[in-house]
Order: sequence, then structure tokens, then C-alpha cells
Amino acid sequence: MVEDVAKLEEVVVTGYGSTTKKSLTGAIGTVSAENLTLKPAANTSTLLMGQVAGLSARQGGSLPGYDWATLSIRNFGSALILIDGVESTLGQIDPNDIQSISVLKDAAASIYGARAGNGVILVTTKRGSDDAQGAKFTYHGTTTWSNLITMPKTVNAHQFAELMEENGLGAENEMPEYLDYDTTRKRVFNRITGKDFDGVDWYRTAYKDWAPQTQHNLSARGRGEKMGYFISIGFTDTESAFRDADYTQNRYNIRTNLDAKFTDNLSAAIDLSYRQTTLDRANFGISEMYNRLGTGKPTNLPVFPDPSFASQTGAATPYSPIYMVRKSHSGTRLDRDNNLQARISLKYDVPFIKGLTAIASLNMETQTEWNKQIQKKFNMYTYDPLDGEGDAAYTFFGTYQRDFISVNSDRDMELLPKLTLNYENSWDQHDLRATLVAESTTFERDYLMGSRTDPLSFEAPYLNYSSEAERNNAEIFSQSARSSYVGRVNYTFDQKYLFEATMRADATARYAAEGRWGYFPSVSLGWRISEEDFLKDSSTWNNLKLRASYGVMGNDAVSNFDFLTGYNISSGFYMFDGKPYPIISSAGLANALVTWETMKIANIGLDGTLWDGGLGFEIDAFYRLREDILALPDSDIPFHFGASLPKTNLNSRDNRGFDLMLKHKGKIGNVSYSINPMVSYSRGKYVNWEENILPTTGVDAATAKANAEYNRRYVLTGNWDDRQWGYQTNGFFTTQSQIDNHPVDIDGAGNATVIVGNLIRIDQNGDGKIDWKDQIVIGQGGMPKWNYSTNMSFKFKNWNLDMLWQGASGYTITFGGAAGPWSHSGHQTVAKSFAYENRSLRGANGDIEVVKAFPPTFTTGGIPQVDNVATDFNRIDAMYLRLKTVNLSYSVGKAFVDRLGLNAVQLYVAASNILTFDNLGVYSGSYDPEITTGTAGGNIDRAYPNNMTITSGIKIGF
Amino acid sequence: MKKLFYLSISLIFVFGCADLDLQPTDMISEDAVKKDPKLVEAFLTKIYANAVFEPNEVSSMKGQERLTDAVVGAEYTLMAPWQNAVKASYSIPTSSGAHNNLNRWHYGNIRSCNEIIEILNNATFDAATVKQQIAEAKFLRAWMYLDMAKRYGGMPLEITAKSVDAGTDELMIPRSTLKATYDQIISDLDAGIADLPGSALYGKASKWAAFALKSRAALYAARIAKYHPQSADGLTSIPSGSAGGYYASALASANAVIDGGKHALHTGSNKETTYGEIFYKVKGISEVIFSEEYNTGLGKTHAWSGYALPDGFKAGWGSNMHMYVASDARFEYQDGSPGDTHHAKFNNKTFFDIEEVIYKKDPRYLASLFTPEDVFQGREVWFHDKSVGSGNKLGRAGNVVPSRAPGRNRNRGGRLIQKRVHPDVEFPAFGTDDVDYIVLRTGEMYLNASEAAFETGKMTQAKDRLNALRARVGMPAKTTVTLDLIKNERFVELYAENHRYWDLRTWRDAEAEIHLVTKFGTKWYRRKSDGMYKAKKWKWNFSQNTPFLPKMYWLPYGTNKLAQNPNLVENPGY
Repeated sequence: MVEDVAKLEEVVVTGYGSTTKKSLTGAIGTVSAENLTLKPAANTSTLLMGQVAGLSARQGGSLPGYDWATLSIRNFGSALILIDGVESTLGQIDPNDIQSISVLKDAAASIYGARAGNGVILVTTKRGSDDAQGAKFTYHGTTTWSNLITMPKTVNAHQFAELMEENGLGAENEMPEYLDYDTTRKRVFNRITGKDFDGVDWYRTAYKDWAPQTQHNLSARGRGEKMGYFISIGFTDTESAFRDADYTQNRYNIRTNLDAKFTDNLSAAIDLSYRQTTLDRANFGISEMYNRLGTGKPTNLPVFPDPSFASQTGAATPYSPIYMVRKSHSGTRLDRDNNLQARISLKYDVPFIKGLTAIASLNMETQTEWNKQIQKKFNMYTYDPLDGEGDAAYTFFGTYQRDFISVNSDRDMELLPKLTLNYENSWDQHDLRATLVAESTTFERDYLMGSRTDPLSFEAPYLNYSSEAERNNAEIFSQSARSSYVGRVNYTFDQKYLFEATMRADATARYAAEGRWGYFPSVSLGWRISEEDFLKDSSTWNNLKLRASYGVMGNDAVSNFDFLTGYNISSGFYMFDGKPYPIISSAGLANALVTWETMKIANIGLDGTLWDGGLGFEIDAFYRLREDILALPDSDIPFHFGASLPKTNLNSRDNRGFDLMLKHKGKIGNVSYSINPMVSYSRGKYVNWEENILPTTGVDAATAKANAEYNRRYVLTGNWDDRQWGYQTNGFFTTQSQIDNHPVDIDGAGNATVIVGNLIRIDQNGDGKIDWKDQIVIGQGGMPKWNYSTNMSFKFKNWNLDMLWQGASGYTITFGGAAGPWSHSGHQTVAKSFAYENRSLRGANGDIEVVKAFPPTFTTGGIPQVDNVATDFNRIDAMYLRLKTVNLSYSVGKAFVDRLGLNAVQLYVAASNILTFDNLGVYSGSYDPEITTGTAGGNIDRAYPNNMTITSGIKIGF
Repeated sequence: MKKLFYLSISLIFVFGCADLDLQPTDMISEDAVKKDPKLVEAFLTKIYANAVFEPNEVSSMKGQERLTDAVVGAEYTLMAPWQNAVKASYSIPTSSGAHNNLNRWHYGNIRSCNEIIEILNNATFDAATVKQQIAEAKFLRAWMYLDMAKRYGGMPLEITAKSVDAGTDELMIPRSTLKATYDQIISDLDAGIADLPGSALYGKASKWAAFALKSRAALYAARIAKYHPQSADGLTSIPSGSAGGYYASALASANAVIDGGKHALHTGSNKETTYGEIFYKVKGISEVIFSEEYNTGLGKTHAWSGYALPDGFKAGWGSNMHMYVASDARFEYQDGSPGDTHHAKFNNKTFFDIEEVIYKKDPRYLASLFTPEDVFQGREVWFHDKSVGSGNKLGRAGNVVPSRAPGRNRNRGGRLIQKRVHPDVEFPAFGTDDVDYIVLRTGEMYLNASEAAFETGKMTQAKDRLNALRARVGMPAKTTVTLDLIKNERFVELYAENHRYWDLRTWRDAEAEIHLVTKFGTKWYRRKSDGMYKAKKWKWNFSQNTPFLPKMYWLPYGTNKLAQNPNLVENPGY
């Protein structure tokens, strides 16, 4: 009971202020510091997984230095992230510096106005302790080892050769001369030694088993009479799983948050934070590397007996992924980002008006993203011991990339002055609080790049020592500005009836004066039912509160200067007689009234605690309408008009759903435990979409029917926003006679081009032919509609065990390209084992003799053309449940700690991504259900996988 | 107290105020463009840049997409079935539309032509410049309408930049007939002929470019009128009666270029080099009438050699464009004997001398292709699948012969495209080529003239024009001409220059030449003792199922385009 009262008094950070849990009226989820630091994560975003109902965080890969965690509140899209009130990103903040995180899911975000439409995540950093105390130092260090959890397994040399024979390319054409294929034994063998050659898995060559990461953080925290401080320095060093790859990321975080009290009425906060991240790696493109890795033939050695001769994959584009990731070959790339933030704020308690304070602050931030590429050309070779021994076995094959140097610098500067007036007063049964804020932002960005080819020597890899022949440089400058006024009133009557209203006015330079100002009001109400007489003395109900809110927000990052007419200068050119001629193009028609998107969100929630914490719950249901989405109002003009009408705020779509969180606390013997399951659902529709909807009345019957068909397939208005269209299939053709007798024309040529193994697409409308009219909804997009997780915590004496299970469903994974059921057909991308094992086998007459899940290997290589359309055949409505983290910690006994002269010592081991259950069937284990697209949005077989990690950590207080 | 209140209020405004009247940094106002000839020039340059002179040439696509027209026209095939150009050759267009690589909609750029003509009509600066720029805009507009009309038939004709506020009747125009579309193209080219200079900046349209394009457009129109069945609405046909007029116009325009003297056929003593260098030198070759320029130093590059170079000479991709045996048969021997004279020997038994079977072919064949033991950059290009017997007879350039050629050279056609590959550039990095692209050249004018003369009964002229072209490469003269001979000469002279597909469509020969035709490549086997070869014809599956149905002579507009304008009519069969 005592504990729960404390919870109700817990301070929750809200927009431009804070309140207590009990007087909260909005849907705000919170994460406290304890839930963040004792977990392994190279990337702070991933720490939020499974912590707040309705906040979905999915990890789309774990390559160091890339923030591939998708954070989305209720599937709204990317949320506004504010760290101590300043727009930022979450990935690279040191988790040890975080005091708390609030997730504003409903109208509570309205106070952030034009940027808040997708919800807001507020991160608050630590400050000096609340109570006066001497300096407390904390050291926190971890070592983490990570290993990839999924890795595609490719076929071995024998299986590869077998597939090449089946698809008619001929095994011997696809392997070096010194190897040969014995068609009767189905074995590849070395012609010199006569021994079988099993081949090489390029993935296993590319990755190593365990990659280390170390983190250290040292902080000091305390408060004296006049001063409070939090000072922290952190260091993180992460290696990638690429074997032999020169690829490391490190990060330094420094922060000092100081509070100074000058007089009784005047105090100041002075905050400085600096962050530097360095990604030091070989110079290669991640996508390019994955594209090549998938094509490394098991019959070609990734590393030759003499590794100084660089290999090649044997594929069409043969660049070796194994050498690409080595600095010695491809050159270096250094990415160094610096972020410096400084803030000073003065707080004045106005002496003659009780409860009035004024805070003036100035925040400055500068960020530089700088990188330098020193790209080297390197030679590749083929290896054939038949040609001779030693160097004679290697033949020059070609080169990869050019000698090239480029330097890029992207500098941001932001200035944010803010003035806040707070008023707080209580009398009788009334509590009143009011806040007034004025703030503005100016932002400028200057991007500068220069590059040249052919440096004279890599000993001096600088632009000015490189060739004058191909010089390139560019500058991109942009600026923006915003002015805002914010007001809020909170009123509570009798501790039971809670009322909050906010209003924000925002103006941005992105829009013309006419559409520049936006007004974003919100109102929310709370009723603490448990404070009413009829429940006040209930032994069951400790707390019961009903909340309701409605608010308006915006999304202004949708348009930039679209209100101007004229011509765009382009950086391109066209050549006449050896000279580049500049290009301008018409910017198109303009709309002076263009403005931001408007979001209206309504939320109703119920919070309760029963049986002294035996059961707690928070449930919220919401509806969000997103209006004024920019669209080209082109349904009134045809394509041959030649220009688009100006963007206009026309479209609307919505989201609906709920979040539910339960809490259960208990004690069995000496073990106290808590279980905290949560589930959320969100799905969207197009409400009103600018599009051609063809008339079905007032036209003749045939036209009406055709138009209705068009509308069914193409019209979005009124439909779910995640529909994937394609053809339903009924297996594949197994015999030629089946094709000959098939009543439906699948290819538009009387099935003349259909071959055994082609998919049987279903003729939905029964017109005897397959075209778009037969398409139906076959999938629901890559974003899970359902997210669920459970935090479990067990405490026994000095031992703590925490577990997080997390999962999602209601989404579709498309197994396309080399991840798909046809991947055994290509000679370009090497087949995966599951594809080999699941392929059907043809008999001598070309008909299928052994029917399995996948079609047979095609003589064409790749997907047979007739099947090169979206079908349900390679889609799975996915779901998974994953043991995301486990953490076992031990607090060393007080007596022992005291003897060491320390305050506290905590030791722990933690692990992440340990166990996964999914429904991916034959793909399970080869693909990660959390990853629905590969690097750069490509196929899922071209992604750096997620990690399983094991961490040991120590936290010492002294 | 009051003071403090006012102070707070004023502070609020100070803190809440940022300068919001910012301007974007990459824009120029409309008025400035109307007054400044340099800016008009830059706008006109944009139209050149987006006119798509080479198929699927778009700034971001250095790639295989550019090979589409040649692959769908069965000039050559590519190494793998997953390449989009190959996919385009398989796909049968449906009511949803044609394969993306075959679709081309120029209306955005056509509107720019219309806008610039309007600006220039009201311009006050130098009259001569204004006249020439209007003519350039019209030339480019003609280029783009022709590029669409050859795909879709009659087009909705936009020749002014309409206002958004124009009424539905003005906006929702129907398709014009195919004849009206061709007449619009020809009238724009006539304006070009009248107002373009005889000598223009390299890369810009000249009077001769307008003549040449007019010759091509008129020839297409004439063929459609003569060989295509009549459609009731005239959207996919041209009245057969007008064929003669169009042929005459094609002939006159081609002759204007040939007789104009400015763009004489490129000639020289080494016939193979003379013909070959047209395509890798381009600039400075008299025969080139209109071309698009590239420059590695400035970063305007393409990847032609990256695809074309054979294994052994490439750094990256390479060995991508493979010739079919049927195309080989079209290239005669230097003595005038038929191109398939030796094809009976491709029986996997008979050994033969490649000097005789390959290296006595038309110089244009030798310049256009890489063939077994072709000496390139001082070394042999190897194609043989296996070596037979024992011995150590050296290759044609005197090098030791590997037991088999690199895999990529022997897994498809057995002959690779060489045309446009610069022989001086060894192991170029992929995508760094800057050999210019020829859009119009005089060689085509001789063929246009020969065909148009033949079709209008001027047999002597038909024969003379044909033989002049053959004489340039030392091929013996034909004593009589037939349409088949002219068509074959057109194939040989313009091989791998993206003409074939459109020729087959306008002649209405595409079904016969393409539809599910069995296509072969050659596997070569080299005898170690004497360097003699035997060969066999073989086929691989993915080149066999290439359909061409009658409806494909006119590509569909597609459901989504039709939905935008109720007055548009789809082409038949979709």
C-alpha cells in the first residue's frame, strides 16, 4: 500500500512541466531510469521496447552506428523526440544520463503543436539529487558479446552444382576450371586431387561468431545548499560482426547539468552536453556489400590460399564482399559526428505574487556530421591451380572502384530562446496551475562537399594533392524558423475532478504568410472515482480514475516553400560541345494556402489499482483523424495536361486502436515478483483520398460494371491503409497436360508461355483470363497491428531476475528475391538451403515427380516471368514472440560493501534476443520476423541481422 | 508592478518572435526567366536533358534498362532473365499497361516546350535567338511525340500550355488520329527545317537533324499506312492512300541530308575501323547528325562498356549482350555470299577455320561484335566452351590458349556486342564511360532513302542509295534490290542501335520475327592441335518464350491513365 501511494505521487514529466501520476489526465506512458540501464543495448532506442503500451519499437538490424529501431506511437509514424525540451534523436544519448522518459500518446502531445502529430517522446536527463547530500559517484561498466541470431544458410557446392544442372545452365559453367562435377555421384570434385569439394559458405566467411562491445560511464551527483550537479562521462565501443572487417563505432558522451541558487528568488540551471560518435570503417556501401554477399558461389573461394590476391564472387557483378570490408583494399571511411548543446536558464520566483515564477532560457545546439572517404581501387583475381603453382595460379580479373577522395560536412545550428511563466495556487478545495510559454527557433544547415579522383599518393590522402581533372564540390544551404506561444491551465477540484486545457499557436517559415499560423487546442478531464465517498473506503479499490481527452496537433514537416512559383535551379546539366550547360525547371503551379497536416485525437482511458497492488491496469482507447494531408488535386486534370496542380491540403486518413497494460505484484515466500503484460492494437484507414472514383450511376450498365471493378481495385477512400494487392494462387502446375487443359488464360497468350512449375493464379471473376480484375487483398503491410510484451521481475534477497518477452502480429512479410521460394533457380544469387530442400523435382518428361512446397528449379534461372507478379504464394501473415531480454543481478551485501568503503555494488549478467517463436515455417531460422525490409528498403535477405547479446556488468556507487 | 507586467508582455514577444519571412535558396522567379535569355536557354536545356534520346536514359539509370529496345526487338539478348530489359521482352501488356521499360510519357516535358514557345513569342530580346529557340523547342516536341506515337498510336495533342482553369472540354481532349499526330510531328519538324541553323553547337538540333528526324517520322507513317490494317477510329492506322505522300516526304528529307554535304558518310581505307570508330568517336565524325554528349570529368557517364566488354577485359559486369545465330545469318560474307553459308557446319562434328567462317564476314559484323579469338586490345577474346585433343597451337594474337574461355563468354550466344566500346580504354571502372550516343546519323538516311525510293517505284535510286552504303564498307554492290534486301541491309547497318524493334512494328513484321521464335546461340570447341573450331547451336529456355501478339503493335494506355479522362479510348485488345 505504501509503495502504491508513492507511485501515485510519482512525478511525471509532461509537456512544458510535470505533474503527479494521480493528477494526470492524458495518456502518458513512462519509463524510469531503472528500466533503462541494466540492459544491454548499443542503441538507446532499443531500450524502449516493451516498456510502454502503444509504443512499438522494432529492431530492423543491429549494425553498429545505424539506428534501425523503428519507434512509433500507436503506429502513427515517427514521433517527435525531445531531450530536455530540444528536438533530437534518441539513438546516441547515454542511457546512464536519463532520468525518465514520458511517451505522450494522446492530446497530451497537443501542447507541442505543429510538430506533435505523431505523438511525443520526452526524455529528461538527470540533475542534482532532490535532497541535499554530498557527492555520490557511480561507475557503471559493461562488456557485451554479440552474435547474429539469424543467418541465411546457403547450399554447398554439390547442391549448387545439382541446381545448375537442373536449371540447364550446366554445373561446369558455374565453377572454376580446376573443379568438375560428377553427374552420377552428384558431387563436385577437385580435378587435381580427385577429392570432393564441399564448397564455402560466403556468409560464414563474412561474419565472425562473437563481436565485443564495451561501455563505461562515470557520474557524480549531489546537492549542496547553493549548488546541485549531475556530471557524467560515458564511453562506448562497438565492433561489428563482419570478420576481418575494419568496422568499429565509438561514442563519447559528456554532460554537466548544474543548478545554482543565487538568492532566495533567483536560481539558474546551466547545462552542457557534448557527444562525439566515430564510425571508423572500411570504405564500402552496406547495400552493395549485401548484394554481393548473396551472390558468392560456394564453388568459388572467398579467400584464396594466398589471401593477398583478392577474390571475386564468380557472379555477374563479381566484387568481393570479403575484401570490400577491408581497409587495406577498399580504403577507409571515417564518419565523425559532433553534437554540442548548451543551455542557460534563469528562474525567478516573483516575490510579490505568490506562486508565480518566470523562467527565461536560451538553448543553443550545433551539430556537425562530417565524413571522409578515401576510396581505393583494388585488383581482383581468379584462382585456378591448373594454371600452375604459386602466383601462376592467379589471373588478373579486373578492378573494383576508382581511387577517389571525398569530404562531406553537414553543419546544423539551432537557436532556441524560451520564456516561461508558471503560476500555481491552492485555496479551499481548489488547485490552479497555469503556464504561459513563448519560444522561437531558428535553424540553419550548411552542407559542403568536395571530391577528387586519383590522389597522387595515399600517403597524402587529401583533396589538394589529388587530380585536378575530376574535381567536384557542392554546397546546400537551408534555413527554417518557427515562432510559438503556448498556454496551459490545470484546475483540480477537491482532488477528484481534474481539468486541463492547452492552447498552442505555431508559425513556421515553410509556409506563406496566409497559411503560416496554426492553432492547436486540447482539453482533458479526469475523474478520480476512488476518491468519491462510495469507493474511498473500499478495501478492494486503491485507485480508480477515468480520463478523457481531445486535442488538435499538426505535422508541418510535409512541405517546404511550396507556396512560391518560379523555377528551380537544378544541380544537373546537359552538355553541348564539351561544356556543361545549366538547367532550370519550372517549379510548377503554386498554392499560397498550403499548410500543415492536422491531427485530431480523442482518447478515453481508465486507470485502476486493486488489492493493494495485486492488480493494476491502464487501458486507453483512441481515435485519430489525420486531415489536410497534402495531395495533388489531379483527379480533375488528365496526365496529358503535363503539369500537376499545386499541392493542396486535401487528404485524410485515420487510426483507431487501444493500449492495455496490466500490473500484478505479489510475494511467494521470500520471493517478491511483478508481472506487467501489455498489448496494443492500431490500424488505419483512408478516410478521404484525392483520387479518380469512377461513376457507377448515370452510365450504361457495362460501363457501370467496369467502373465498379476499377473502384474496387484502385479506390483507397474508405479502405484500410495497409492492403497489399495481388493474386491468390492454388499451388503450381505439375504437368504439361494440366497446363494444356487449364481453362483460364493466365499469360494473355493462351498459356503458350506457361511452363510446369508456374503458379496457378485464381480467376476470381470467372471471365476466363487473368488480369488486374482478379487481384484481391493478399497482405496487410509490414507494420504490425498488434504489439504485445510482458515484463517480469523476481526478487529474492539480494538477487533480481528480470525478463522481457515481446512480440507482434498483424503484419505480412514478403519473401521476395533470394529470400523467396524461387531462389533455387537463380545462378546469380546463391540458393539458400531451405529453398533447395523444399523444391519440387521434375521427371524425365518435364512433369513434376516429387511435389514439395516450392516449384521446381527453372531452366530460366530466377522467377519465371509469368509469376513475376504479387501473389500470396510468398507471403506470410507473420507473428512472433521473443524473449527479448533476461537480466540477473546481484546486489552485494551492505556489510561487505561498507567494508570496502563503497556505497553499493551491483553485479549483473544480461542477455538479449535469446529465444524466438515465430510462424515463418520453412523460412524460420533463416529470417528474422522483426526485419521486414533489408538495407535501403531492399529484400530481406540483404540486411545485417539482429544480434543475440550477452552482457556482464558492474555498477559501483561510492 | 505595472512595469513588470509590461516587461513580461514585451519579453514574451521577444522570445516568441523569429524572422519567418525566409526564402528558399534554389528558386528563380517567373519574371526573371521571362526577361533573361540565359535563363530561357537553361529552361530549354532542361528539355534536352529530359527528352530521353537513348531508350530509358534517365539520370539515375546508367543501367541495363537502356538495352530494352534492342532486347525486345531480338537484336540481342542479355545474360540473365531477371534483367528488366529481358522481362520487358516476355511480358504481354495487359489493361494495366505495358512493361515499365516500354512505357514513355513525355507530357511534362512537352508542356515545357509549350511554355517556352509562349515565353519566346512574347520575348523582347534578340529576334534571331528567339526564332532559333522556338525551332529547337518544336524539334524537341516532335521528337517526344514521335517517341510516344510509335508506342501508343494517336495521341492527345497538347500544343499550348493550357491553364488549369480551362474548361473540361479543353482539358479532357480525346486522342487525335494517328495521321493527325504524325502530321503534327512533321509540321514541327518543318518549322525546325525552316528556322534551325545549318551549323549548330555540337549536341544541339540543326536544320539537318530536323530533316533526318522528319525522314524517319515520315517513313514510319508511310509504313503504317501501307502495312497496317485500317482501324475505324484512325487511332492505330493511317489511311493507306497517304502512304505515297509520306514515302515521298521521307525520301526528300533523307536526300536533303545526303545531298546537303554537311553530314557525309564517314569513309576510310580500313573498312572495319572506319565503321567501328563512328560509334566510339562520335564527335568529329561527319556522319553524326545529332547526338548526346558524355564526359567523365564532369561526371556525366554511362555504363555501356561495363555491360559490353567480354570476360577477360572487364572489371565488373560485362559479357551481357549476346547475339543470336539468326542475327549472325543476316551478315553476309565479304564476297557477297549469304551470312549463313557456313551454318550447316555448326553440327558439333565438322572442324572449320574461323578465319573463313568468321573473319571473312562483312566489316560491319567484325566491327560490331566480339567473336572467338577476336583480337581486342592486343589480346584474344576467348569463347570456346572446351578444348579438344592435345597440342599447343597459339591463338590469333599469338597467346597461349586457356583450356576454356571464362564462363561468362560461353554461357549464352557465343558472340558479344562490341559496337560503341572504346578500344583504347582498358578495364574501365563500371559506369565511367563517356562515349557519346548517336541519335541520328547519315547511314540511316541512305536506308530511309532506299526504302522510300523502292516503295515509290524509283528502283535505280533505291539501288544506288543501298550500294553507296555497302561501298563505304567495301561490300559488293547489289545488282537488284528487293524490300527484303533493304530490310536486311537496315538490320546490318543499324545493328544494336535500337532501331529494329520499331522497324518490325511499323512494317508489321514483329509477329513473324519475334513471337515464340526459337532462338539459338553457339557453343564453340577449339582443337588444340591446329586452332580449328567445331560448333553447335544450342538454346536456353529464357529466350524462347518471347511473345508478340497482334495487339502489341499498339501498347495500352492503361487503366489508370484512362480513368483520368473519360474521352480517351484504349487501343484494341486490352
